[in-house]
Amino acid sequence: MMIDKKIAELLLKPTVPKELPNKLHLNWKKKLEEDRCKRKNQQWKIGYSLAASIFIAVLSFTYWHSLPPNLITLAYSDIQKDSYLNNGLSNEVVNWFETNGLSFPSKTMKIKMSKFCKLDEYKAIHIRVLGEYTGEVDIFLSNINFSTLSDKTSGRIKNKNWRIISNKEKADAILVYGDDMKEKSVEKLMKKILNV
Amino acid sequence: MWKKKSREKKFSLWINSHHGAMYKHALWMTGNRDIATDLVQEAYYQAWNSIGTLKDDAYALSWLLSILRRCSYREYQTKIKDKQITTQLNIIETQKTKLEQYEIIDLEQAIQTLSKNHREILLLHYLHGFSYDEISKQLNIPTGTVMSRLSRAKDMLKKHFQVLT
Repeated sequence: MMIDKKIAELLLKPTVPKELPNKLHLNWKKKLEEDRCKRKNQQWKIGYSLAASIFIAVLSFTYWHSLPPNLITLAYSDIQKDSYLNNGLSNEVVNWFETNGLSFPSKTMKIKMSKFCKLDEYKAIHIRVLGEYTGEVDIFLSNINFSTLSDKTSGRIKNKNWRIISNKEKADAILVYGDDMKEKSVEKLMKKILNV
Repeated sequence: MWKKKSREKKFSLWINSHHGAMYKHALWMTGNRDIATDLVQEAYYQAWNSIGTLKDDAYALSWLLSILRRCSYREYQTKIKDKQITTQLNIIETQKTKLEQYEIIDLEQAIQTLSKNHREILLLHYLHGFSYDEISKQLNIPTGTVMSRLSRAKDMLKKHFQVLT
C-alpha cells in the first residue's frame, strides 16, 4: 500500500512547463487558421470549377445549337459531291415539277443541273440555278415537310446561307446559296417556283 | 457553425484540463522534457485532426492518451536516435528540494528499467488512476494481463527502491 502511494506521488511530482498550455493553444489556433484558409481556397477552387463547367456547358450548348440540322449537312455534302455536274434540266425533273404543280424559274435564271437525290431517307429533287447577275442557289425540293424535321428554318453552313421554305400545298424547299447570290433574287425565284 | 464552435470550445477545454497529465505521461515514457513537449504538441495536433472519431467526451483523456501513445511510438523512435540524451538529468527540476530531486531520479532510473508495456500500464494506473478494466479496454489486452504486468512492474520498482535503501 505504501509503495502504491509513493509511486503515485512521485509520478505526479514533475512540474509541467508553464508555457506549455499557451504553446498548445497557439499551435492549435495556427492550425485552425490554416484549416480556414485551406477551406476558403477550396471554396474558391470549387467556385472556379463550377463556373468553368457552366461556361463549358454554355459554350457546348451554343456550339451545338449553332450547328446546322442534319438535313442541311446532307444537302451541303450533296452540293459538294455534284459541284461539277452541268446537265441542265432533265426530263424526269420536268415531269416531277409538272406533277407537283411547280413552275420553272424565269428564263433569266438558268438551271445549271438537276437530279434526283436522297437526303437521309427522303427523296428529293436537287437543282442548281444560276443567279440573274451573280452567284448560284442549290434548291432541294420534296413532298416531305422539311420544316417539321428541323427546329430552325435558316442559318449558316460553312460559307453559305441556308433556308427552308414551305408551301404546304405544293412542296418544301431547302435552299443553299453563297453571299454572292442576292436575297432579292432568291425570293423572286422561290416566288416563281413555289409561289410563296 | 454551432457544432464547430462547440467543438472548438471543447478542444480548448481539453488543452487546459489534460495537458498536464499528457505531459507527465510523455515525460515518464521518454525521460526527456523536450521530447515530451514535442510529443504532447504532436498529439494535440493529431487529436484536432481526428476529433470526429471521439464518440464520448467522457473518454477524452483516454482518447488523447491513445493518440499520444501512437505519436510516441512513431516520433520518439526517430527523435531518440538523433538526441541520445535520455538520462535522468532531463527530469531533474531545480525548483524541487534536494530530497525530492533524488526521489525523482530514483524513480526515473527504476522506470527506465521497465519495458515500454510495463511502463505504460504503470502510468495509466498510478498517474492517471485508471482501473484494470479501463486499462484493458484502452490497450485492448485482457484484464488479467493488465494485472500481471502491473504487479510485475510494481515488484521491479519495489526491488529497485530496496536496493537503494
